[in-house]
Amino acid sequence: MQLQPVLLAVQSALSAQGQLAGGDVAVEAAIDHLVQGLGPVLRQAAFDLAEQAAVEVRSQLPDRQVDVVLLDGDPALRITDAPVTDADPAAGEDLDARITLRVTPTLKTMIEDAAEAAGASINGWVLDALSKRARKGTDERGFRSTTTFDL
Amino acid sequence: MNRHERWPVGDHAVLDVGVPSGSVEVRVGDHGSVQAVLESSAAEDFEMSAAGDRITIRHPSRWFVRGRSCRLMVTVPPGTDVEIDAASATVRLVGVLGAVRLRTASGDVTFDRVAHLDVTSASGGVTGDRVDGDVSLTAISGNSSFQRVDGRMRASLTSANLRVDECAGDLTVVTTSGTTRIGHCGGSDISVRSVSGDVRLGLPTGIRVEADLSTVSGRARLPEPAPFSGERRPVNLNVKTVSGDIRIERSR
Repeated sequence: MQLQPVLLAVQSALSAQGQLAGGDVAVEAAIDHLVQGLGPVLRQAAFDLAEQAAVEVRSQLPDRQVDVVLLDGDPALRITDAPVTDADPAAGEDLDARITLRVTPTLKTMIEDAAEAAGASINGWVLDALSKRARKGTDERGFRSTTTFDL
Repeated sequence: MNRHERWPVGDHAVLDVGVPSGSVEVRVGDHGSVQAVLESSAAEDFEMSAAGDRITIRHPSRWFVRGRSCRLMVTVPPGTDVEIDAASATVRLVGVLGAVRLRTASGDVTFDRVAHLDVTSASGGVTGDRVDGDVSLTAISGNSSFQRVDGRMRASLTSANLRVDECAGDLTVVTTSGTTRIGHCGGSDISVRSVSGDVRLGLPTGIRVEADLSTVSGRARLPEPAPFSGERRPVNLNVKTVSGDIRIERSR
């Protein structure tokens, strides 16, 4: 979010009302101080709006974590993966089904390291990863890739 | 009432303009002088002065009833640096100018060719042919379009759309809902972050792309990669959206 253009627009709109001063220098100065004083108030209002936006986005992206952060002094929404938990995505069901996977030793090590880094059990980490993939189903939307290719 | 002024200047003139509303046209003319014609009901209230090679044309008060709207036409030497603060004035820059800094709330801006461009705009659009150097663009809702940018481009946008036919330098775009379309991006460091705006980037052939791409709910479309072959110029490509689509394609 860029606050500076918003402040500029608000101050400009208020400036247009400055003709009420009718050329009176003292009134002009008072209006000028008033407009300048609005800056901090508008900045705080922008932070409040950013937090409201975060709540709204958070409600629509349940598998993401949405935070309000400061970027170069302006509020911004940072969207990251929600923390991995052992929670069953199929709420209310017992974890009594089993799938036996055969994986390479390297992949097993990668999974163990990723789960440890996320502070989750291996079972919880794998369950979370599979749940997210399965929930996408056949929907082609959503994409994530870190890759190198030539053009 | 009209005012006509003329000042002799050297090779590195700077034009400083501040007007509340109306129109500003800066046109490149001959070397050696700056000429200004101001049309306003309160033209005599404007400051029109020179300090060395710096020419200042400003309305004395943002609050005056009289003379808020004006028509200003200035002829400057080629390569003149221009600084304009305008609340709602339209700005037209004709010819080859130096570094240009614009701050406008709602007026549209057009230009032919400038050395560098720094624009902050609330709702005004920015349209131009060529920037020989870097571009810094901050806009809420005004759409921006450039034919060619030779330097680095940085844009912070809210709902404004951005279109650049060719950007030779690095590219950094942060946008909320505006679409970003770069026909050809020749830089080595390309970063676009968007919430709901679509992103479409053209990349040249003969490069090695180290890509970090993600969209939460948008669609992604990538070109068929070429077979790996020897050394290629590396390009860092970082594109992230929440719901905006991502499309990467070969530009040429």
